[in-house]
Amino acid sequence: MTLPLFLWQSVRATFTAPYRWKDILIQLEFVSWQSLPVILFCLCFAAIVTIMESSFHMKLVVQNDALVPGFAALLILRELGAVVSALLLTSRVGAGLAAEVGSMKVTEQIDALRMLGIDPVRFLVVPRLIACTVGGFILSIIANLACLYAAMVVSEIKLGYSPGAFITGMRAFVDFQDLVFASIKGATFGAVIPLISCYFGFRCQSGAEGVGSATTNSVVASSVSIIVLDFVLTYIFSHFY
Amino acid sequence: MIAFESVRKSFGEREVLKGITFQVPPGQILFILGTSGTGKSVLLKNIVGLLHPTSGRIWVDGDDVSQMPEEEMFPIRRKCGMVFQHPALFDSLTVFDNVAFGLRKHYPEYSQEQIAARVRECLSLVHLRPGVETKKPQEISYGMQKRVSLARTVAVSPKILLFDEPTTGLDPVTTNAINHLILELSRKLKTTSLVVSHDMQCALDIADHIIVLDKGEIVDQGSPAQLKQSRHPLVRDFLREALDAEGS
Repeated sequence: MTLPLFLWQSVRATFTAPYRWKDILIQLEFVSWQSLPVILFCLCFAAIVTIMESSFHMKLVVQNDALVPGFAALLILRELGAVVSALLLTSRVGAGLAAEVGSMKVTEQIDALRMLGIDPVRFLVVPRLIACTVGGFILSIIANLACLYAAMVVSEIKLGYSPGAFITGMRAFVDFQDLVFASIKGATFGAVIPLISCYFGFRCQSGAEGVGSATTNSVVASSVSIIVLDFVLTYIFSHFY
Repeated sequence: MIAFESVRKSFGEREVLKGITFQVPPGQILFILGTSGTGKSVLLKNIVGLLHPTSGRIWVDGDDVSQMPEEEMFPIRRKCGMVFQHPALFDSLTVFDNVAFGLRKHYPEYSQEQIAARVRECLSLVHLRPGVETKKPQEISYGMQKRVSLARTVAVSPKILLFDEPTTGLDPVTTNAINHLILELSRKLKTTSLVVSHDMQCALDIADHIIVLDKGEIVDQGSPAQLKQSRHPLVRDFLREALDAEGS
């Protein structure tokens, strides 16, 4: 099965009933709730580094770090929140998906599904695609807000900006629109992960080596796709600023 | 009736099936023997459209399935049940749900009680004791998984049973049990059965007709009695192995 055909079948099945709601909810819980701790943990550290680095360099170049809250918030909302969340989701969810679908292919479970009259794309890909898209959307909002909160806390502790000053500085640079664009990015990246991971799973060659290489290739391809898509979306969104 | 007519199948440059022609009359048990990598499993998967031949035709009850699109394969697959080389049970489901899986799909009119009764019937058909249905596949032995796989296949009452090396990886006792189960099920359910195997002894015991494949070609075929007289070196090797196994 070629990638365009697989994408077409997946998208077509996603927009046609019936849906396996129970499975979608299980996947959503796995994708969003179970990924939340690791994403929050990593993004808080990313926010701390962003604040400290931007403060250091602004002081060095313009002898003033008054623009740090706005600059950091801009970076977090437009790039860091969505992209780092998606890359973490790729390693946590995407790798697991490729390995799971790959193992099912190798152990002939996918053939067994086809024999029982079940469309494997509808059965395996659709619940994961819906869950990852919705999960990516929700996670990007939560991750961005948590990241901004961490940035605000560290700005107060390290740079002495009160929360009020941080928010005022932030509002000069970012708008609600940025959060909307960040969540669109999150949903798009979320959709890319199961599509690419399941595709590599479906193409998996037999044996443990086959499953291993399908997993590795899916993580690499998903990460590259996210970076490229980030550029495309950023370019499109730049027309709205 | 299943019929192959000059069927060829290639994967890239490599030709796996080289003009296979044979027929299986209804109700017969056909064994396809051959060493590993001779295209036995590929042959079986072509019958149900899991693979498609590069050229030639395959007929299942009068329908040409050789290039049939996936959407049209459902009625054909509905007639056929396939036991895979791996048990191919769904890990996330219990034994009960694995066996009930096809029933829920094919018989939406069945009540929960009817499904439960059919699952119990099929599990007892493959000699699995009550209590196993609540377990997950990874909690039971490989031999039991194979039996569950068999139960799942027969649950939807197929007219044609396809077995892809059903005894691979099993101990001799379980192998023997599975082989007799194939015979029992085929006779009891009056199905046409195609069994891909390495086991000549089993083929001689239960097959109506045997085909021997080598390097993608049929090198010999006939009834068990005819095969015993074969002069082909590969068939002689298989027969020697079978005699050795019987002797030991």
